[in-house]
Amino acid sequence: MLRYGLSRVRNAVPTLLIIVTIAFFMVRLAPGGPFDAERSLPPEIEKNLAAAYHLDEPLPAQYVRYLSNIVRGDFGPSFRYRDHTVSELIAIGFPVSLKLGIAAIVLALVFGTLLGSLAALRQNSSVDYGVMGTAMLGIAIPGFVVAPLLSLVFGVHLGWLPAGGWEGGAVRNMVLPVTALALPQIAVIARLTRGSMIEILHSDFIRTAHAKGLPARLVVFRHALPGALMPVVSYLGPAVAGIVTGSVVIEQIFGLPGIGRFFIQGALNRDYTLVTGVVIFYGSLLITANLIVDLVYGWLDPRVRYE
Amino acid sequence: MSDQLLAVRHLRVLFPLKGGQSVHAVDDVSFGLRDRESLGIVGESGCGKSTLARAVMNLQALTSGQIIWRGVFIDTLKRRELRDRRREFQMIFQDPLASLDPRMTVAKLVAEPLRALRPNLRTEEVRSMVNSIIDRVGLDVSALDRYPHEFSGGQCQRISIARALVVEPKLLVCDEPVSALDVSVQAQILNLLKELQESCDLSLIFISHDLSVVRHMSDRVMVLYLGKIMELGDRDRLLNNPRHPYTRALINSAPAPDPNKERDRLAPLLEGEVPSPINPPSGCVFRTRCPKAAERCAKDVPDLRPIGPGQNVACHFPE
Repeated sequence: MLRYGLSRVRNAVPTLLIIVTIAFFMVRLAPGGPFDAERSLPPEIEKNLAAAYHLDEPLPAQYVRYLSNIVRGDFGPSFRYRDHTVSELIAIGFPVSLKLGIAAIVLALVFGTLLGSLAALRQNSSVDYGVMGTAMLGIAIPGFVVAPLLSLVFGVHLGWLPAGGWEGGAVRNMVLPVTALALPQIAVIARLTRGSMIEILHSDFIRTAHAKGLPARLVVFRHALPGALMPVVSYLGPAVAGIVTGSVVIEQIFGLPGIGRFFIQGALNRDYTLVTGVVIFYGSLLITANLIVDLVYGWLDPRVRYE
Repeated sequence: MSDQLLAVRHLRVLFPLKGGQSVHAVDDVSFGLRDRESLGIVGESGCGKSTLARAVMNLQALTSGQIIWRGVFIDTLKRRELRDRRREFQMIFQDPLASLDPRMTVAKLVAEPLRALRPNLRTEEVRSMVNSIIDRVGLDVSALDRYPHEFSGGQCQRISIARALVVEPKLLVCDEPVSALDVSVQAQILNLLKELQESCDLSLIFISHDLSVVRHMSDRVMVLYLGKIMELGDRDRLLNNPRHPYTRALINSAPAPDPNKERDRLAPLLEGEVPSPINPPSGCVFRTRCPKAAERCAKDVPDLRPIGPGQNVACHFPE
């Protein structure tokens, strides 16, 4: 198990290298630069700035310098937030994004599996059709539509919850963004759970469990649900990815000080180091999430346990 | 009647389809089972063997009819009462690996019925009962900490048998318990079942499409065709002197140990396919393939009637 984990970490290095490379060159390909402004700076100042940030060197040299800095754990200074390094900005934004993300994942898991199981146990009933129809909507409508609508209805018209803002992470400020983040995931997880639950409910060992004389409740919770959750566990990797990318949009819409917001600001400002830094951070996060999912999978299903 | 364990009366299981039609899986089946008796049920695929077994086990809702278990109408019992009765009848299935939850160790799988049906047992009692039944089905206690996928098909069937017998039932329903196994393993499992039947005072309902297996296992034999009993009788009388044309054809179609032996002594092999159970033939369901079919067979449904000591047949023109 430990050896398996280590080999996975080792295999992640080339993946990360590719991510870094693409991110590094793509931001620099985008037109404009970090110090462009409406009023152009005097040429000497511009030259000094470029030299200070090594932007006057040829690209390959910049790339090598950047890589060697990363290996030492130095993501460099932000070009725009002058007094902060990229690491500091991530450290400021991450707790906010993490809190949002975990709340969204938990919400998605609880409601997704609950609704999916309900639909499976009442297959082809109005409950089933209702849940699946709503789930289809949840998948089809993108977050950048749902989020402003939620904000408009519950924040502005009804006034039940704040339409935006963080206020140190108060629960009332989290409700709307977390809901907007979780909705598409609830929908996907509900559909996954329903499908695998229906399959498992028809399998032989469920019939055995009934024949043993187990009460129906135990048959569902002990025999059917754990098996039905396996596809949901494998989906957690992509779900984390979905929530990470979703949070970029959601944080911007609700004005939350998370990493996603820095990311968008960074991209708009051509803040090269900030953008590549966040990309690397997100990349490692996703690789870790997928590794954890695979380890959990083996732990849940004795048939795929690793040596 | 005192040693009558199970009585099934006019059992009927129909599966409704769209458009008002239905599949006649089991149609008006009645039989009894005595204490420690073993009843073999034979028939082709789709003749309703498994549905009948599931209905007897109360895993399948009845369309009509009654199932009387030791004097109690179990088909009308409430769920809780039925669960208390489940201790007395257990079942094993065809696919031994698929019928075991892959996420549970053997110890948990075998202990589960005890925990569900006899919740008052202490943990040590459960453990010792599990250990003793695992030993009796011929497995080592080291098997208890392993998972089903680590065992062969025969071993999985032993685990299933242990799981069924750990609650000390009176009746064990075996739905094709060996048809998924290698022939050499089949014999081991069959002998194990016979041995356990003796030592545990079990009644068996033994379902198979293999006549030689049924001959080995049964005191009485029931021949099913399209959900109806064709013939029901003592094993030796029925298999050595079949009176129903279908039974004859079935016996004749089984491969003989000596291929050179004259084998057309009973009846010609059957032609054609089993008709659809959605619109079974009128009158006698077998008439479309019966060499002796006459006009009367299309009109009247033949009743199952005694034709000799310990032998009943549903045919207007028995052999």
